Amino acid sequence: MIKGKKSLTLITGATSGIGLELARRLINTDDLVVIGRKEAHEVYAMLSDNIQYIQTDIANPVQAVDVVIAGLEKLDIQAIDRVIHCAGVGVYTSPDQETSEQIGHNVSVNLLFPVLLTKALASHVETAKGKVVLIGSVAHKGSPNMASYAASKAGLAGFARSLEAEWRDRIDVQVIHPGPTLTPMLEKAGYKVGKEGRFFLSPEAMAEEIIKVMATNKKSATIFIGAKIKSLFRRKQSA
Amino acid sequence: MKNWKHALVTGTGQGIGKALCQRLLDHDVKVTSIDRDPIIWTHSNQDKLLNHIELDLINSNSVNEIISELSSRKKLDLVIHNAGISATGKFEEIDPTAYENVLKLNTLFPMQLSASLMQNGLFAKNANLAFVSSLSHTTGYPGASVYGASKDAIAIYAKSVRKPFAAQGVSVLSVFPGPVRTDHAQRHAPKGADASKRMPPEELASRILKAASANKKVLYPGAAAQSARILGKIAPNLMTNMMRKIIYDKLDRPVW
Repeated sequence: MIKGKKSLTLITGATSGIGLELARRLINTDDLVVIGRKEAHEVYAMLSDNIQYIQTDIANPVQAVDVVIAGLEKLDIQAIDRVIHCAGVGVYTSPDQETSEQIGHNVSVNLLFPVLLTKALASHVETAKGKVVLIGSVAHKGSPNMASYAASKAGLAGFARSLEAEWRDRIDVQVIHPGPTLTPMLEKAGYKVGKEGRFFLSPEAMAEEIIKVMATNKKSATIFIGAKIKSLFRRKQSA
Repeated sequence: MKNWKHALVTGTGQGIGKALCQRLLDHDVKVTSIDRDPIIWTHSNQDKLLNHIELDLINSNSVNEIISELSSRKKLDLVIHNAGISATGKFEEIDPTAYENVLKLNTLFPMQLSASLMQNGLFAKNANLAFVSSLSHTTGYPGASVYGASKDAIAIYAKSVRKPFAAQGVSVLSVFPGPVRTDHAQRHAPKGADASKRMPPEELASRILKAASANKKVLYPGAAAQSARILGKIAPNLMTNMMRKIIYDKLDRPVW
């Protein structure tokens, strides 16, 4: 059992990119339960021995949710103050090149798993009068070279919007859309960062911004500092 | 109506899909129809022009089966992703398998089939590809959050592929219908909801085919859907709150 009076945060996708940086910061304030695919010793080395780790592959959402629930039972956790859904995958390619496997993987990890886990943890979060935070993407409005990724993030945004209305007086639901961030996910997706990378945020800076937004009551927020700087820069150039 | 030669329509057993098929058969278009059930309706052209594939699209191998079935046939110049299911009720009361099925059928399958049709060169020149999303895309949908999510996802997929697919001669249409007078809508509606206000499926089918014929990008069929689109844009929170009052607060049972 996790001891202490700190609030308890469960976070997915915390072994890489924005999620890892979020976890590194939250360690100071929260008791953490981390969900991930990596081996436990690697995760403890990245974060701390002071976290709880549940190893599972969320590419198989149904089984993964069972593993998480069994893990929480073992840890005797019945109340969770905050669930942060940060795990995400994507492929950067023309939509006619996306394979069924890639599309399926995107939908499983980015949409089906968060939906199923949110349902499975509803009573845990309600018991703690807690909050569900879904990490979306600015791509949720559409992206020709990340079509099924954009679709899965649009689904996540829509899910958050409806569930927030449904749970309004019971459980807080928040969706945060990070703009372009220099994470390993970009590289894994096959995206080659060019000069525009100067305007992407580092995962550290993005995590800082997300933590600030999580402390607010905003139902939905977009963090797009890179684009903001870019637009200012452009305006300056044309002036 | 455009001079289509071979159309593929999913979810053809009843409702909108049935109406689409019948309208296409009226115009002598060859139709490959897909539904998990056999076709029980009749049409004077069906023996000549209708090829029905009985297939559950939730099944992960369905895309491959359709591709292999189509590879020996004439290329498609019209594809309409119409098949859809819902799950209504309190979010936590619905079986997780229902959520899995909603996302597989409404979101995953149309994306996988569209990309596979492209990869296998199964679209004819100047083809039309239509995705039936939902008017819920303009608002939140408390009481059907995963259905709403599935329809948001497919709407954004359609938007994302519009330009790249157009470059390859496929024109993409997104359809956002409000309530339609179908058995499906009836099953999921709160008790006492007025069915007479719903659009007849035949009317929606005609509007979809007209919009696709004109290579339209989006279709909000009817005045009510167009008003909802505007309201959803200028007052999204008001609209979601209305949905909660009109639907969620009146739901008396979970249905999936």
